[in-house]
Amino acid sequence: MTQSDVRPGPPRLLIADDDPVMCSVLGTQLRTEFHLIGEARDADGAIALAVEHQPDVALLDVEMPGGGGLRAAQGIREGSPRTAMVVLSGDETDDMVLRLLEAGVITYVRKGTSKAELTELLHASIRAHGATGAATPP
Amino acid sequence: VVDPSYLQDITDGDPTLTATLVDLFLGQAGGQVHELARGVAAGDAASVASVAHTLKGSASAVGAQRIAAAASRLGDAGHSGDLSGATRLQSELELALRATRSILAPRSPEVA
Repeated sequence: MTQSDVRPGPPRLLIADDDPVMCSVLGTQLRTEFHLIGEARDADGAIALAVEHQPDVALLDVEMPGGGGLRAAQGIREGSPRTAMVVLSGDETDDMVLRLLEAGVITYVRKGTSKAELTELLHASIRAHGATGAATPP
Repeated sequence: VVDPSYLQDITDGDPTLTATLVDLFLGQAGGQVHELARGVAAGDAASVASVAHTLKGSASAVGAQRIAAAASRLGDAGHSGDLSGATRLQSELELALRATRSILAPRSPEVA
């Protein structure tokens, strides 16, 4: 990320989860620190929103229709390389989380994480993604 | 049954946001518990595992700990493919939902 890539205002956030309750919880938790550019219910929707809006960070559920968080991460990495990606996991031992990390996701967070911890983790992920440069599409 | 600090943390104590979230959660959880009952009755382990996983996640997020724990146990049964003890686990989940509703419903004018 270069200086010219830095946009004013709060970081732009994409939330992707097929569970409306989770989207509502996350959107409410993060409403004061981030600008929510949209919610997606499946991998295709997440990729489309990311390509259109180029958010600073995307919060992706592991288990979504259309290929889940893994396919969403691969598509976002290709179509919106400036976007830092964090996955939501309901199961800390899920092998899928490791595969997501290999696909360019920066880290993962368990559902039920506090607002302060989640906010800091997302900010840190944006910083880390910017420091290492946008992910290179495979 | 419920850790109220979760909702407080999510909404900063805003009563309107809290009521909206509680209404959404209880409405969705009620539908999921019915769906799980159908899955258990039909012996559909994959459906039970999937629905229980989603319910566990949302319940964990709003601090509905008894529901999250019951859904987790039912989800484990679904994942194992062995639903022989699932009827008892389903009953525990329904009791957990009832207890949770009695605590959270007063926060939502839509679910009384």
